[in-house]
Amino acid sequence: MAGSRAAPLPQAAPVDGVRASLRAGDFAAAEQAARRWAGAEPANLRATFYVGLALHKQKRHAEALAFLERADAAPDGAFAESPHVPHYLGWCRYYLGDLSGACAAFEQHAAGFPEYDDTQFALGLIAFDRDEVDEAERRFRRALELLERAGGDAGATTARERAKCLARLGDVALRRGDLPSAERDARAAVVLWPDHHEAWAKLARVLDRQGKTAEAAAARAEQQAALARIDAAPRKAAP
Amino acid sequence: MSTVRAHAFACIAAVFALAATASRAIADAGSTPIRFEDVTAASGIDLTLTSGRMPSTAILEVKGGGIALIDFDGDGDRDLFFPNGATLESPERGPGARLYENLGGLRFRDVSAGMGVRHARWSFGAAVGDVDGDGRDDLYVCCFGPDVLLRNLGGGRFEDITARAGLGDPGWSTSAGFADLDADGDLDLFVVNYVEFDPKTPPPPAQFKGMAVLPGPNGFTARADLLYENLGDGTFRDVSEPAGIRRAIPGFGLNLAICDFDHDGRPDILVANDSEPNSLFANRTEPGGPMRFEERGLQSGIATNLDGAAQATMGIAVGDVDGNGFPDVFTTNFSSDTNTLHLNLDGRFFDDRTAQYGLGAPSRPLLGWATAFADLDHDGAEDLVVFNGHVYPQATRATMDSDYAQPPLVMRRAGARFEVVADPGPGLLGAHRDRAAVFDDLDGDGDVDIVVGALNGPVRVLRNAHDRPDDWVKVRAEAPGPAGSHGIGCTVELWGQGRCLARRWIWSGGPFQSTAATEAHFGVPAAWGDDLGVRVMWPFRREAGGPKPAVRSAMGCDVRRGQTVTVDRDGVRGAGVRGAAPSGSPGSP
Repeated sequence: MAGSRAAPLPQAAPVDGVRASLRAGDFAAAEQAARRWAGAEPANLRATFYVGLALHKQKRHAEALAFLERADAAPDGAFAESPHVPHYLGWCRYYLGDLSGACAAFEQHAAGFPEYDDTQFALGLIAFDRDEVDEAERRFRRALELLERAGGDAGATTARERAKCLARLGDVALRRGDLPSAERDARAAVVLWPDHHEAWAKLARVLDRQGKTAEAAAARAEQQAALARIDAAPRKAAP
Repeated sequence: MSTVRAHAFACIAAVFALAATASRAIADAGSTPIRFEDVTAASGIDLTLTSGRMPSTAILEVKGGGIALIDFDGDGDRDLFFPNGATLESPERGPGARLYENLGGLRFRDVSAGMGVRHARWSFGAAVGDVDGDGRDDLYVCCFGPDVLLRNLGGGRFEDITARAGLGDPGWSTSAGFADLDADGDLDLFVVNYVEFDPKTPPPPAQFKGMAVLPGPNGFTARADLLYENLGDGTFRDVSEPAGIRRAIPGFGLNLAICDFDHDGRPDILVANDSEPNSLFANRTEPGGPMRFEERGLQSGIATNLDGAAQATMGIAVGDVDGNGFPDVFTTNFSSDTNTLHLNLDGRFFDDRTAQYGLGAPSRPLLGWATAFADLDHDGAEDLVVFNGHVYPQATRATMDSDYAQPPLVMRRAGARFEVVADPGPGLLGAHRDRAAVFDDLDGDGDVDIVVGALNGPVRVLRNAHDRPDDWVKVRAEAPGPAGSHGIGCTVELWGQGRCLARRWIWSGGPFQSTAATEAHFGVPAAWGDDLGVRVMWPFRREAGGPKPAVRSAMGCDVRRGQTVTVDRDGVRGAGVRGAAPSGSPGSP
């Protein structure tokens, strides 16, 4: 993550509690803590931002959006995270189906932080949704390049993100009918992150399309194993 | 930041400018806007469907009742049958099914009292077909509890012949379809089953976006689908096991499309499974031989979306989106997911091209049910309608990113993509808890109308106000014998200017717990000229080299704009034939 432009001293106690819950993946607890903070300091847009972020992490994007839009009204540098509010606004709008709004927010963020990999990745997804395949590839490659540049100790921690980029590059190749490239990208993705069940499914599909039936079946078995490993039994969005 | 915001604003403005340019181009091309009116009040249909009580507390209550198009009186127009539901307290004693006679002009008359049978079991979808070859449309009704086969006796009367026919599986079925799957000339039956459910022992609530919600289908036991062979003597035999249907892992089945997806002349069966991969049973039956199917949902790519995820898959629409001659499949899904378009690449493989056609993002806040491709504005390209509504009564945009009542999604084909129609007229505005729908030219004026049913809400009759007499052609495929009835399994092509202009499939199954139209409707823009012909390919007609669609064509002057033609296996009935059959068709194997 790139650095912020202005960083007033954080109000240590409330923000630390919220961030600890976020880091632990306990987003409901983060929401509660952020709401308490925001309730105590209604004018504090940093608290408002964290309520939005905690809701976004719980996939309650519409509710999150209202908080993030309020936080986005803060002047530049009003709080440490304020320059990154558009990034989260972008994701909420994306998941609510507002591609134009999402694109505007991500482009705003990219203007300030051109090396923020996840924003480049998001702009790739939006381009793909718009069937702007060349632009999607450019954005995914840029995100991958930024992640690879991080290297070193961060290399391991970015493996998942790199795998996601590669899987999406495979989608681009498949969209173009370039099956060998789609296979190459999907294979690279599962090497980087063997639990990436989506990438296994994509690999199985592209192998099937090339008549490599046995290999496709093996990839499909790996997909199921990956799902089992991450305790995500085959399911859809509904419970 | 203000500079960046200005840039974002400029981008949005540019998008609107592009949209305006596109709209002008459409207007210049002479297209009329899509516009529907709600004519329910004058239609004679005053019916509120029952599906448990509000608010829903169990999965049995959220699917809503089905709708079937049936020409029960054989007068050539389609009448309406509503199987209707019941309540958890009395699942066997609901308010009862309703049959409406089409009087023309989108006016209907309730003739339920004269049916001779009172069907009051909690019901879902229905299938229509002439099971006994007497020339009349019969009804198979999918129920919670034993399904029912109602034989049409004529004169608006029906009799329950379920037991005599060897049918009546006691589980919960949602949808069914008739088609001649083994080329023996009669209609076989495929029944889609959902879950094992006992209202007396409801499972604990599930969680969705942090809220306790009614449970299912995950956590329930899936119920296997059933394939019945019509033995031609008024009885059916369960051939699910020997035909290869049972080899598939049972899914939570909601819908089906029986259609020749691989273009080998044999109708295949696509089953839409809720939360589980969809099944595609490729028909490997040889004429005269036993029914044999190969399940290849995952291999074909239609079982899941681009990311390998199984989706909710309620509604099904079939159309030739990319014009390659193979039937593509659009399915509707849960909220916070997207609807999905699977392009049929070559009959063997499907590819999720939802994004390419702009169909993903607009559907994210919506939970989709019945859907259909139809050329609503007669510009020559099929548009798309999806009816929506959430299953969870607690659903709001704030809590679940999706409201309980939702407006229909109307998408117009605009060049290479689909675009949302913001104002499709008063009939398609407003939020409802919609479920099943049928799409057909019910008033015979040449455009496609809609009848839709809401969950525990009124049935609505929506009139397409396109109303032009000269920019459409409709084709009926009819042949003697039950398998020829309504041309189920036929591919219909409209030809002109030396090429196939558009293509439709007459498929079994439907938009959602409903029946697909059996009349092929084509919008015919002025640019297509007046020298039009139709080409119909019937299933299971052998040609040299194996079973391929046979070609019987009606070419030329007698297929006119504003005309409905009927084509049988030997050519056109009620219209002349001119010229030879076209030598080839895009996508022909």
